[in-house]
Amino acid sequence: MTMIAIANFLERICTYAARFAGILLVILMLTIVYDIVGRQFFNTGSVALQELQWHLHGAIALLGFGYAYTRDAHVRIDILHENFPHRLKLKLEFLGIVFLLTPFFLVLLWTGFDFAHRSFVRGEVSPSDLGLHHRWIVKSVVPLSALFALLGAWSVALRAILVLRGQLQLAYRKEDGLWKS
Amino acid sequence: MEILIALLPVLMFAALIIGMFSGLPVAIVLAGVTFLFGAIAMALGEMNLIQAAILPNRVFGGSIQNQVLIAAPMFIFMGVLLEKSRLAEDLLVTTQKLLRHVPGGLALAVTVLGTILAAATGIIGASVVMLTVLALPTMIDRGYSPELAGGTIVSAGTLGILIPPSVMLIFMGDILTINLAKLFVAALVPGLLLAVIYMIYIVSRSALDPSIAPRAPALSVEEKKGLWMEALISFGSPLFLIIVVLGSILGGYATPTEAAGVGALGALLLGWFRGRISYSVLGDAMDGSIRTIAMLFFIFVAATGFAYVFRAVGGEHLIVGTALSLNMGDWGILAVLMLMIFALGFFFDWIEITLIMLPIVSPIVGLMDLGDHVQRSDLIYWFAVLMAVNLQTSFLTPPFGFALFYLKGAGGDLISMKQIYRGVVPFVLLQLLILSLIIWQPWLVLWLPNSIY
Repeated sequence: MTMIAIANFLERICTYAARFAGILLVILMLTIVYDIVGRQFFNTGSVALQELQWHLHGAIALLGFGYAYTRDAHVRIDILHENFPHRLKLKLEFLGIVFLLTPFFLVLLWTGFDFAHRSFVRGEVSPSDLGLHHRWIVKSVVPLSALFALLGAWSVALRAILVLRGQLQLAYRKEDGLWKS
Repeated sequence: MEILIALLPVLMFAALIIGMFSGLPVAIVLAGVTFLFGAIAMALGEMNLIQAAILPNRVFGGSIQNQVLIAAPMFIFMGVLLEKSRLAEDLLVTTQKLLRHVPGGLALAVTVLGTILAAATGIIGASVVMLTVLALPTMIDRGYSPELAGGTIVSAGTLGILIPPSVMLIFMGDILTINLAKLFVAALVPGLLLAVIYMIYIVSRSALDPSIAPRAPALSVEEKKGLWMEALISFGSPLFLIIVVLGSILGGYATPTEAAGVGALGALLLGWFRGRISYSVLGDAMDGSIRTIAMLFFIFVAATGFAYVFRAVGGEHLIVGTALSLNMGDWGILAVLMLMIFALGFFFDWIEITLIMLPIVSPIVGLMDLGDHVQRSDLIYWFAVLMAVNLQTSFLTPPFGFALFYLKGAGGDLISMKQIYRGVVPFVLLQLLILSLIIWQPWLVLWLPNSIY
C-alpha cells in the first residue's frame, strides 16, 4: 500500500468513530429527555438510565480525538508558530506526533486495554443493583480513545511527510465534513 | 540528585510552557511532557509502575464517569444547532430591526446576541469569528465607526464565557468540585451587569456622537407589517429557549445536565419548526460539535495525566508551600493569582487556563480566608466568578488580548489593528469597573445563589 492509501485508511477509521460519536449526541439528548419525562410523569426513571447518560457522554467526549486531529481542530498557541516557515511547521508536527503524542497514548492504550480487559474478565457490573451490566464496554472507551488519537495523528504525520516531499498539497483536511465519504 | 528531585515540578511546568509556544496542539505537548517527566520520576524512584497503571482509572473517573461534565457536550450541541440552523443570524437581523430607533441599535443587537447565545459562544475563537462574520460587514456598511463596531463585537463575543450556560463554567465547576447550578447562578448577575453596562455605553456614546453610529434606514411598509410576527419568532423563540434552560436550573427544577439535554432538543425543534433542519444541517451540527468536544476533552485527558504526574513529583506541595511562605496574606495571594490569570490570558485560551492551570492553583484557593469579607463556604464561588471576569478582561486587553486577533483575522481589511485597539479600550475600562465592583461588594455575586440554595 502506498503512504497516501495508509493515511486515508487511518483517517477513515477515525471518521467512522467520530460519526458514531456524532450520532450518540442525539441519542444522549433523547435519553436525557426520556429520563426526565419518565421520572416526572410516569415514575419510570431508573438508575440504569442515569448510568446510560454518562456512558454515552464518555463515548461522545473521547472517541473524536483522531478525527479532530485530521481536521486540525485541536487548539494551538500560534503566536510564534504562524510566522514559522511552512516546511518547519510540517517537520515540527511530524516530530511532535512521534515524540510527544505517541509515547503517552501508547501507555494509555496499553494500560487502558488492561483496565478494560480486567473489567471484562471479572464480569464487572454497576455497583448499584439496578445499574447497567457489562461495564467493560464503557471502560473500553479509554483504550479506544488512545487508539483513535494515535491513528488520526499518524494519518497526519504520513501526510506531513508527503507534503514535505511535494506529493500532496495539505497535511490536514480541515474543510472536509464528517459525512463526506 | 536531591536538588533535581526538588526542582522536578518547576522543570516540568517550565517544559510545558516552553513546549506550548512551539505551536503544536496543546494536548500533545501536555502528553509529551507528562510522559517525559513520568519516566524521569520513575528513573529517580519518585514514581513506580503501579502508579502509571492508574492512569486509565483517572481518565475514566475524570472524563467519563462524571455527572457534571455531561452538560458540556449537550450545551455545545445546542449552541452549534442554533448557529447552523441560522437561528442566531435571524436573531441578529430581527433585533437590529426592533432597535432601529435606538442610537447604536445595530451594536446593541450584537451585544444582545452575545448575551442570549452564550452557550453558542462558549469558545472565544469561534464566537468572535461568528459575530464578526455576521455583523462587522453590515455595521461598516451602515457607516458605524470601525472602533465602535470592533469593540462591540469582541466584548459581546467574549461575554459568552461568563454568562451561563457557559462551557467554561461547567469545567470550572468540575475542577473546583463545587455545585455547578450554584456557580451558574453566581455568574448570572455579574454577566448581566456587564451586558447592561456595555449597552448603556453604546447607547450614550452613539447618542452623543451620532456620526459613529448612524440611524438605521427606515423599514419598508412590507417589512413593518410582518415585524411583530418576525420578532415573536426570531427573537422570542431563542429567548424563550434560553429562559427555559436557565430558569429550570435557577428554580432548582433541573440539573444542568437535564437542562442541557432539553435545551439541545429545544434548539433542534425550533430549527425544525422553521424548516431549517435537514439531514445536512443536522450532520453539520454533529460535525461542529464533535470537533469542539474532542478538542476540549483531548486537552482534558492529557491534563489529567499531567496533573497526576505533577502531583506525584511534589508540584502541589511546592505550590502551596511557596504560597504560604511568601507570607503576604490572603489578599496578597488573591492579588497574585488574579494578576497571574490576567497575564496567562494574553497567551492562552480559557481552555488551557481552566483545564491545566486551575487544577494546579486550586489547592491555594481552598486555603484562602478573607474573614468577614466573604464567607469561607462562598469564597470558592466568588473566586470562580472573579476568575471568569478577569479572564474575559484579559482576552480584550491590548496589545495581546487574543480575542482582538480573532476579530482582525475574520474582519480582514474592514478593520485595522489600531482601530481595534482604540475601540476596545472603553470596554476594557468597563470590565475593570465591574471587576473591582464585585471584588469590593461580593454580595453582587453571592446574593442570588445564596437566596436560592
